[in-house]
Amino acid sequence: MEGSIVLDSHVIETNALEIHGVSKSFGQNNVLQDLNLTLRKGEVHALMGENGAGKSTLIKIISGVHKADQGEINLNGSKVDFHSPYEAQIGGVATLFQEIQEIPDLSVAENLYAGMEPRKHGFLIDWKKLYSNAQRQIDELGLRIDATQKMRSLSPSSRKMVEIIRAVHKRGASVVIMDEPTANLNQGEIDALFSMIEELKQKGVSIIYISHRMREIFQIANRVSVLRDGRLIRTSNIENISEDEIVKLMVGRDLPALYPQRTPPENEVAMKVDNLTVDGELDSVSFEVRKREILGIAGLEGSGATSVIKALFGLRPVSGGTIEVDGETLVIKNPKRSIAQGLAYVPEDRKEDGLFLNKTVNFNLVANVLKSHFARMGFVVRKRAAQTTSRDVVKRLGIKTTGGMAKIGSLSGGNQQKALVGRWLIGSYKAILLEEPTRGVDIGAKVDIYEEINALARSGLPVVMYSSELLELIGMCDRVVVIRNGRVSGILSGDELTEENILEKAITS
Amino acid sequence: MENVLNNALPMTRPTRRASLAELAPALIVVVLLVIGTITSDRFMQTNNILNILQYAAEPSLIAVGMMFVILARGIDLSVGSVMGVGNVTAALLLAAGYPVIVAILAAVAFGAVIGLVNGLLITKGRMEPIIATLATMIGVRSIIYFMTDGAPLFQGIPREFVQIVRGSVTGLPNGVLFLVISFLLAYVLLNHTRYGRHVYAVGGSEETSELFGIKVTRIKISVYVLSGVMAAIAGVVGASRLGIGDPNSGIGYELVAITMVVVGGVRLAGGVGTVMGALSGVLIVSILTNILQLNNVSTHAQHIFLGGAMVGMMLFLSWRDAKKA
Ligand SMILES: Nc1ncnc2c1ncn2[C@@H]1O[C@H](COP(=O)(O)OP(=O)(O)OP(=O)(O)O)[C@@H](O)[C@H]1O
Ligand SMILES: [Mg+2]
Repeated sequence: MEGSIVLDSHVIETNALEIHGVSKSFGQNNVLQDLNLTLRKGEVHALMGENGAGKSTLIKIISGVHKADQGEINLNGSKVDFHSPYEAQIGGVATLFQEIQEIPDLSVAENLYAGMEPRKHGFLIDWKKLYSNAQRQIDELGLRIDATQKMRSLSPSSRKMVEIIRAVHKRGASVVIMDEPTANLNQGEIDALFSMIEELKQKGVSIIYISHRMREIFQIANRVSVLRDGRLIRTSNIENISEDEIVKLMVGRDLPALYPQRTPPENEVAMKVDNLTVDGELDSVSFEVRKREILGIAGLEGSGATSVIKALFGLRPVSGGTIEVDGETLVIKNPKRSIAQGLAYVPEDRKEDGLFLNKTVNFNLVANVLKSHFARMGFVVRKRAAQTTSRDVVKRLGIKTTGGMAKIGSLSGGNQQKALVGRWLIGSYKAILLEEPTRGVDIGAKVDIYEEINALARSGLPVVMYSSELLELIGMCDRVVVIRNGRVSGILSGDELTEENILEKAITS
Repeated sequence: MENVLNNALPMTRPTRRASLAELAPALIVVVLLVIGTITSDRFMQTNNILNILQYAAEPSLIAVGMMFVILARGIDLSVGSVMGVGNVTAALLLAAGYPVIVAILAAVAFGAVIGLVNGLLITKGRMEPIIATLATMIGVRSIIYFMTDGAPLFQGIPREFVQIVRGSVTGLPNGVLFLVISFLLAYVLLNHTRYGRHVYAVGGSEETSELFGIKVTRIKISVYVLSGVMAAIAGVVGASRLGIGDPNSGIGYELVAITMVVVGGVRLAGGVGTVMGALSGVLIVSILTNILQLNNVSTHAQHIFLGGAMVGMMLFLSWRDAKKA
């Protein structure tokens, strides 16, 4: 008896969080099975696993979004059972969820302080103090965000940063959970995040960190746990494990090379962009894409790099320039028109611009071609065929779902991303435009998506792709156009295509 | 290298020009004033202007409550019936000899209770706002007919009660004063209190509001209570203005109030809209109606114009949203 008490007090000292035998299923889908995990005081504990392995579900159980079917969670030695993320926050567990949590039409400052707005005269909000407090917090991190702006007007990465500041700066959190925080961030912001994490560690705060980016894991984690199909496969000190070992534990097999073998592009130009201009964002951007070529677009946030593809697809008010595909000049007005003219597009923000979250997987996969392939006079007539086609895509990309009729919003983040890419594998297009095509997908799925992109290019199509992961651009692209201040600052190919060169072109003149 | 990158961090582009969408309703008011002046000599006379404002008082009291509901991503169809209940409750109690203050408080309390019922049906009962409030709209109207046997109450309403709206403490008719006060209060609440900001937050994203620790259920119930209270007050104002209790009071007012709020640029999907906008919406609908009356357009035809104004505003808003995306 006494012995166990001594043991308990020892546990209190060393472990911030203990998860004992947690199981969870959604209907027939056993997402977590008898899972055990310990989080030590002041450590960064990385959680890795394929898309759909159950990482997000686990943290949602810890933070009170879902209820575990079985098992127990101890926080600083005492059993907890949170019923909402807010309750968890009060109890000392701050969570940063995978999908962005914000009130888009309120200001940055209000998003940071909602529920804790400073007041004067008892009940009136002290706006001056609210804005200056928020601005100070932002400035301290070296971020350039205006606290008075509406969230909606910020770039996706700035929005994520605001959310991070909010979650992390909650006073008193002894455990901070981050679910793929960097998926939306650029390099500067990632650095800011990492220095925040370092600070938290110093204060003895423990962190669960989920990411698919190997590099980050080795940069900041003390230990890593690998999940596969809802089970804990192994927990290891980061020094005692290699990248390859982690990958193998995750997927349960050896992976082929990450990037596919590329076939060189033809000389014939398939797509020609001439003096593309968007007032205040892009200034006379010109480039050509040849048949079978994958052309990368790189640039820091705010450089206009993300605007290039959006402008090509008709999502930005183009004020000048022409775009030719297969010798025909396109009319760039709106996305619908662009699709009709043969452009395929994967947006960077899947929640806002990409998917119909409360529609089925089947619907989402065939949405683009529903009219042309499976319908007559506005009615869906070839339902069976549509289902078969959709099933085929699910299989090709290994999308993890309980079936075609599952709502796409219930899929894990990475699997939603696969669906976003997968829908363009159906139908025929003249050019492919991609933004962050592998955002949030696991390494195995990356290989699949790269292979599909490569296949699209090999079939003769020009592909234009924006990514903030430079290694991805280098691995996939024949040439990379670097954008700075809305202008092309260089086009790199062959041996010049290195991280250093891209960054140099992106930053200095 | 790290330093260079940090310096190259994004600067969010300022997109905050006083946006056209926010100014549009006020601009329309100005345009209508010009049109009114051109088409009728009587339009700019003091009497007519006061007439417009007095006509506006009742629907705009309702519109203020409706604005809170819509901002929190709801809708309240019961307001017309609640106005009716406020109207006959006050009239009945006055006729039975109760003091004015008692009659008014009872009417307002009745409105609050119906609002509370709406709020509970929608939050605890998880009903769609449009269904829940449609049900109370119908139910409450039939309660009114039970209370009055369907007949108007002409007798026993004291002079001091009638003076409440018809009289004047400030030089302006009191009815107009109520309109001004309620918009001022709404302005302070929505822009300068946590409560008001949290109404916007709930309308913007319930899920995130929960996460922020905002008491979402409480906020949602409260906006329906507020809407019920405002509608009941509108009913009392109506009883005072006409000196009778009318079981048909408030019929159709839910649509007028919603039109006012929406024409004022408040987004039906919640989370967006300003008090200035809603006030402009009230003025647009009231002035437009007045201009049509002055030009002898029939009541039936008037609705075509109001419907047109609403459609026009919706088209404008969706055009703007599409441009922003
Ligand atoms: N609300 C839900 N309803 C039904 N099924 C769900 C729900 N949430 C998750 N699932 C299922 O649980 C499984 C695990 O999902 P989870 O989001 O935990 O994966 P993950 O490891 O976070 O993956 P990713 O790396 O893609 O984010 C998936 O098969 C998913 O479809
Ligand atoms: Mg996840």
